[in-house]
Amino acid sequence: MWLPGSPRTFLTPFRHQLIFTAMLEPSSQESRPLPNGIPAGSELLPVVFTEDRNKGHRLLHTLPKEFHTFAVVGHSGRSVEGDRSGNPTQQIEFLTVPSASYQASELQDIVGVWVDASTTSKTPRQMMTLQGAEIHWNETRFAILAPPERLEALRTALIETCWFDAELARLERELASAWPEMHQDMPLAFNFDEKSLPRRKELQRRFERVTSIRSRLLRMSPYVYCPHIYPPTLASQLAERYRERTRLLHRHEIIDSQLEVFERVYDNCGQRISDFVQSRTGHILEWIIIILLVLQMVIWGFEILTSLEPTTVAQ
Amino acid sequence: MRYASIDCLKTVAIVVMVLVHFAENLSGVQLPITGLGAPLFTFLSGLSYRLWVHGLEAKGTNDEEISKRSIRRGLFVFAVGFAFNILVWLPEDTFNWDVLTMIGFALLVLNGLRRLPVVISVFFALGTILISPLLRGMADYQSYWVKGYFEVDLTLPDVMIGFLATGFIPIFPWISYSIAGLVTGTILFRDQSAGLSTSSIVSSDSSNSFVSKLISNGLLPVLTGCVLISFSGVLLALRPYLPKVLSTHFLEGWHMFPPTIEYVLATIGMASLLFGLTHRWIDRKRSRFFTAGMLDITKTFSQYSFTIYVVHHMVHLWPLWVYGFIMDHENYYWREAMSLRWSFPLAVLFLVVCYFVLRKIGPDRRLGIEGWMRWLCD
Repeated sequence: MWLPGSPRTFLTPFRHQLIFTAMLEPSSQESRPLPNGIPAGSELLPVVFTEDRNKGHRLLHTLPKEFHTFAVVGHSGRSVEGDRSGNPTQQIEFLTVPSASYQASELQDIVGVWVDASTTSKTPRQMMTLQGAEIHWNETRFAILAPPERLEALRTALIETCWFDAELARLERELASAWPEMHQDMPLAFNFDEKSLPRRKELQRRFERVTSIRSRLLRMSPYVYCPHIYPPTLASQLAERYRERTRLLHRHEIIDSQLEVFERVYDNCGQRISDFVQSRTGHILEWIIIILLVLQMVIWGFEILTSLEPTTVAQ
Repeated sequence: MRYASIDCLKTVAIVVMVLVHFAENLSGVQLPITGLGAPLFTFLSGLSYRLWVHGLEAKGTNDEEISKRSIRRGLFVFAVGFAFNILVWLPEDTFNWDVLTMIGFALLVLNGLRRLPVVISVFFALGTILISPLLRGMADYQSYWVKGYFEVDLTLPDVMIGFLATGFIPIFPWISYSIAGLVTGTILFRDQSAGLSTSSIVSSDSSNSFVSKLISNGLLPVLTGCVLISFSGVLLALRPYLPKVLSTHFLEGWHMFPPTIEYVLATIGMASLLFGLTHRWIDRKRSRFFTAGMLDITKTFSQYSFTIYVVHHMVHLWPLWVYGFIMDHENYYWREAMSLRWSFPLAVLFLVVCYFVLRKIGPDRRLGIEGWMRWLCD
């Protein structure tokens, strides 16, 4: 049950699984220098999603527990960290600017320039306004202009939703890079033979990867497809709008249908490999028996040859 | 794909055979390296066959076409072996069953084995090695050998017995060398047939068993070679202490004629060990010792190995036959034409002349037995 003044998440139907930690006061080591012209009370935090929660990091948000992921404040000097599986973790910067009137064009320009200045983002800046709040963002930078009392909630909402967006983008990249391999493996879904045997481990690894992608995709489904929260809050509406703007639902569906092709190929590969390995064991035994029979026939034939005519020693 | 290690070893095999044959046929001297060239040569024939098949598969040649070419090549080498016996050793030795007829027949067998799991080929090779003493015992091997040479009556049973067990290079157990080469090539170069890069194979296998690591490091032939040589040594050492049935009819000591179990195991081990070492030092990590010039020489010898094998016999045997014919004595000066002081430099001179002539011809012209084989069979 949500109690006024207590931490609350706005985004998912599994509220009880989320831990929202209201430790948002910046420390001098974590917060970064603010862009010029930004009013007092603003905050710039580098946020990193990590599977291994280091006690030295300040926890901003705990994602639903099935993801085993934490949003923490990253250190300024360390732009990219690795997660448990060794994948590089993208650092996202969140600039929260208290603003009574978001339509202050000077402020809009400043945050717009700050977002555009990102060197790591490959996507152009987007903008969204909602009930007195304004968000500018690209792949790696988020700037939130909103009344001070709503800033924390909006940032938390965006942190979670942008993680889903990033995770989906990661799945898209993985699948995109797997298409050529899948085309290469396609014939093995129909026919697997002796020459293909060295590829068994590789196929197994690819099958596991596809299953892993499916698993990650399915774990995200409740959050991507979750219905609108009632009663709506500004944060929940912002998250819904963000999901719409980033087309999370469609992308999820596309990945889902693409995965079906991969699964069909690698399921069949697995079936072919299993059939082949089983029959191969039987064939080897049969061949050993055949070779023994052949050798026996050679001895038998040789016996006949040597008994046909006595050998004459050449002089 | 061409492997410099195979070129080097083929050159070694050819050089050993040329030196041994000159010394033996002209001077009647057996060099310490006698009996090491032919095993290496036949082992490499199996290995080269596997690489040739991989090459065709990589080009997209279908299996039926590979089989047809393999059979044509096998029959061609078999026929060349007969022609060689008739022309070089004269018609009365047509059925002495030399290395070419054995390799020709082996190519036909390898064509069947190449599609089967490696374990079956290994089992077949072991079977041929183990039943060879039995066959020799049944045929009374020594009765076919007079003064160290194979003599056979021109009757079908004797000819067949010579082909299978008592000839110079009989099928049993010599085919095991070609099979060993095929198995080595299959295990070591299987990534080519699977159409994968070496790195992907290494990465896919790196987390697996000890054997997989040996394969990825190219050390499996080295280890196999060491094991076989050691095992042969143990058999030789234990032979005096074994029951008489085993020590006389099964383990017969160290001989090339007849090729005993100890000899076969040790020479297969030697070929495997040499290939493993050269593959590691030349193909994988190019040692500074092997300069481009050296590899160029070995490539030339390797590309014309069959031709050199035939020609070196012609060069040193035909003058003896011609002189014998003039003197009305077929074997005039046979094994006593000159001392080793002369025959050895002559063998070296032959190799040097051979190299320059073959370089002049070049690898792309269809001259020599290899060129004829490609023209006729591919």
